[in-house]
Amino acid sequence: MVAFALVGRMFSMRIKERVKTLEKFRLMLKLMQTEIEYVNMPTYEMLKNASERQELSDLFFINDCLMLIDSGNPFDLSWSQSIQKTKPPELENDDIQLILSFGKSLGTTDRDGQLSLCGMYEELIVKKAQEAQAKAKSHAALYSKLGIICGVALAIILI
Amino acid sequence: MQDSISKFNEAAQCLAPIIRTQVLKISDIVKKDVREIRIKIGVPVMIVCSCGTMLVGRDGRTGYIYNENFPLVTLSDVKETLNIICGYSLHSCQSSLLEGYVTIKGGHRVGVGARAVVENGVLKGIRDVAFLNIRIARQCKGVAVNIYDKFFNHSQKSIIVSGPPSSGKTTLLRDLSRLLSDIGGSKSYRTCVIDERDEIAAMYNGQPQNDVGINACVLSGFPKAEGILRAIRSLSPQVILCDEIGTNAEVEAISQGFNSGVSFVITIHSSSKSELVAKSQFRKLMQTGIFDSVIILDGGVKPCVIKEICKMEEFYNEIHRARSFDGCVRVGGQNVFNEN
Repeated sequence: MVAFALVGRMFSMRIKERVKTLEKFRLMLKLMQTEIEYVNMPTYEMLKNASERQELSDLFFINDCLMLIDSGNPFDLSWSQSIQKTKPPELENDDIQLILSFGKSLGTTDRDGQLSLCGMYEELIVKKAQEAQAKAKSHAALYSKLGIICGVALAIILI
Repeated sequence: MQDSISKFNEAAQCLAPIIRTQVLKISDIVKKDVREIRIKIGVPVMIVCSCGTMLVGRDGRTGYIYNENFPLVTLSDVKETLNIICGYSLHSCQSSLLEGYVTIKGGHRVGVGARAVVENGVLKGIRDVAFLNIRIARQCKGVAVNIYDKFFNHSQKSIIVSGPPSSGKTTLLRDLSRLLSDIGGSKSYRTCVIDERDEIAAMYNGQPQNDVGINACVLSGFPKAEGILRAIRSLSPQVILCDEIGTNAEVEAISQGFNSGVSFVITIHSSSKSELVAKSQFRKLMQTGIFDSVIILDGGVKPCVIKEICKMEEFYNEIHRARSFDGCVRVGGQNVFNEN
């Protein structure tokens, strides 16, 4: 019973981590939006700024991406390689694809285009985070209940 | 020679990896003579030297006649080059792309050939970039020494530099800024460079890519009139340097600056003395009485060669002499403007 309850708890913790990572990415998008809107900041500088912010410093791919750019790799390649290399287990494949596709369009259009891009991806990330939160709630309850049922069933069999 | 080669190598860093490798293989003798690198979809990479335009081959060999050893530039090469030039941030270079050029690290200027996106008659953006022209920046130090000695070493005058395209007006202005504002020189000034098109100081990430002097403050990207007024208001310059004066607002700003005790070094496009007199903004500048002399550049093969230094009075006299009964002013036997 305890083991199943723990599995349930572990699962919901993982979803919570996923929501946290998505929220960080959303915060990065928000910052980028502001930096583009007010100073048309270049992509590299936006990433550098994000890496220097305490709340974003541990966002999984930023430092790797900057390192790859610094060693002379093109931005799009650095973005995709750093994400593939450092993707955290809590993120689902859909989340990774979303972050990858954002990088493909980052810096490729004018200011208005970039602002719309950040806005659109922010919405998609919010949606993903909401879905994950709902999933976390329902799955945590489900696994706890499943743990109790399985424990009771096991006890009956043993008796 | 080493400086010319390193400048070439620096400019070549903005090229897409495939063509960069090819261009970097060019021999040092050719590299030091290259003025431009031209990239166009469907044709080999071209370089412009003093002996004309040459094609660049796979192994860095150059030639004039096309054969299969000259690989053709592809759309993805041009796209990748543009991305590198803009630091993968087209939005940051938006205004300069609309102007048709981007300044890159080292002060090199990249001209962009593309299709215009026009909305209600206003240029909104560009697309289908098909051509890039990288002009290699090479600073000529010392070309303005004589002018500095004559007009600024023992006095502080305002001057106009005039000449045809590619005669070295901007180069001269840049060197004059360096001489004027270098602390430790015979006489040093607080200067302000109004660099609307990033041609003089070529600012990149907040740093001038050309040496414009220690004590020079660069206002980059500001419209000239706005930049002059801003400099006067807040930067307390003694000399303001400004390229290609052309509008009434700019003349008005210069006039205000002079009233605040600032001297000016400006340039004006003109192929001849008569063309200069025919320009309304030049006549307006004459009327302000601010400028002491006009330096007319030769415009031959060698840049920054001074053809003539004329006192402003000479222009007054010439116009006065040339004024006919019908009010037309003729300089060099040519009607240049009508006062009526």
